[in-house]
Amino acid sequence: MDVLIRYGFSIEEIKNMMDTNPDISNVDDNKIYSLIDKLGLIGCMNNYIKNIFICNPFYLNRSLEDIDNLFNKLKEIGITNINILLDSNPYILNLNSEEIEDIYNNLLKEGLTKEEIIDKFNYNSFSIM
Amino acid sequence: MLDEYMISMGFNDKEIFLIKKAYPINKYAESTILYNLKNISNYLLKNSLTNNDIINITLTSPNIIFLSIENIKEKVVALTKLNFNKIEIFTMIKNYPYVIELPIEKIIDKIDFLESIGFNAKEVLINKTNILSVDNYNIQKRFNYFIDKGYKKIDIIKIIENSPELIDCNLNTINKKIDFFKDLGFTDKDIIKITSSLKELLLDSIDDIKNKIDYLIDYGYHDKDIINIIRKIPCILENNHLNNLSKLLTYLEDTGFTKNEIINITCNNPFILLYSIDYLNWKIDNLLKFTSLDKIIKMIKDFPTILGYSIKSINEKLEFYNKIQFRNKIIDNSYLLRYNLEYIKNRYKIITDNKIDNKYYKDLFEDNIVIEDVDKYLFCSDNVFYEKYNITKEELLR
Repeated sequence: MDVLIRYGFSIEEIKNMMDTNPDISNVDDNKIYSLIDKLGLIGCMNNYIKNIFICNPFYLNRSLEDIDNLFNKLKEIGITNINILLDSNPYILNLNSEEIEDIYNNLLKEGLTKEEIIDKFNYNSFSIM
Repeated sequence: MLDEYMISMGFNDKEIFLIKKAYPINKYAESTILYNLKNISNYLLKNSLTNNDIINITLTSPNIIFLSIENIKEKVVALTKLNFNKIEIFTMIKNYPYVIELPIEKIIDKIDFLESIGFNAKEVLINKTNILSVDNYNIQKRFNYFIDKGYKKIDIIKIIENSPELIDCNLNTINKKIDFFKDLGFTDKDIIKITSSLKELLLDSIDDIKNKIDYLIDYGYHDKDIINIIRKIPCILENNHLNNLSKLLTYLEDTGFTKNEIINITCNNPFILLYSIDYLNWKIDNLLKFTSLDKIIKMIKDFPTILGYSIKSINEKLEFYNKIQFRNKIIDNSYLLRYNLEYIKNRYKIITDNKIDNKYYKDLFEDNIVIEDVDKYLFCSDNVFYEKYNITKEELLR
């Protein structure tokens, strides 16, 4: 938990995150650091990271491997600005790579082009989840 | 003397009786038992165990009283050599006192077996020390059961490490639970996901889960809504969240939402169902700085995620849109708040710098005029924007 305080979250914000996801108290500080790093590496700025954590405290339950796979899948389907996507829709982080693939394939089947799917992810990802 | 000492430690009459009954105490001099018990208690107390722990340990494994303190210390040293630290060792003794009596070879054998199928053996032994009493065949059988159900090895390990009781649970009970979720309309993939992410869900009684689902049905949620909600936030099935749920729904009604509106917004953003009332209050109070309650209600109905974003993020966005005279547009189209602010600021800069194309360009902040192109292109699709302003994506994101 110390890491969240050091990262600049207020006690109130941490309390709210823990109310939503009580499992946070069991997450190791090193893992929290690594999860922050993962977001930093894709270009999330400090304020995006805070927004993501507050909006979706369940990100802290994800394994580092799952997150790597998820980011790789998003890149693979053509999302280049994952940081912006996650700031808009932090809930994407609860999906796994297979689910992203399913969403992508279903949209293809509906007749959307690759560009249209990417646009949907970038600007209307809530409608496809 | 022995009785007095045990009473001083907190044993009650029944517990003293049980311990004496469990062992042919008449074969041993009371003074020997007293001596052993004192030594063992002192040793365990020095290692952070409490009198209550000692009572539980002696009741579970009265044999411990007849072990010499040297024997116990030797076992602790042997476990240290297997890379357990002292806190972990005494946690294991507390969880499963028989660990002291087991030959170290048996413990090594279990570690090897658990590691061979992919477990973090140390973690499992600390959390579920009585796995030492379950034979490897039964563990393998449960492991294979989950493989047959389509679980990945990594998920099985996660499930069992989260709920070690599954290692010796009844497979029929698990089968019934999985069938129950299938009957509700969940796919195999959904079931794997929700049972993998939720501690002890497979161990909860079906009646418990039914009651929780019935609560949502009674409120007016449709089956497909409930499936969607559980799929997104399986933890809604945990008791701590469910207890909060009725208060939360009442709070939303008191704020001015109708039941149908509450169902709609929580189906769109089920995370709201996990918020505390204080948290929601805090967020709504913050929005009240920008507009009236009836408009906030409209904004939430149109874009429920507004309640998820951090207050700082929302405030920065609202302040920016206020500054560029987009306040009313945002209130009427709150879903526009989903756009990343830096991205929109970049677009805004490009549009307003492009003075030639702006028919009504004047100093925005002085003359209070919204540029036609800002209105038209601030939220348009990427391709339209790139074409209009002849820039690349990289230039926009720079």
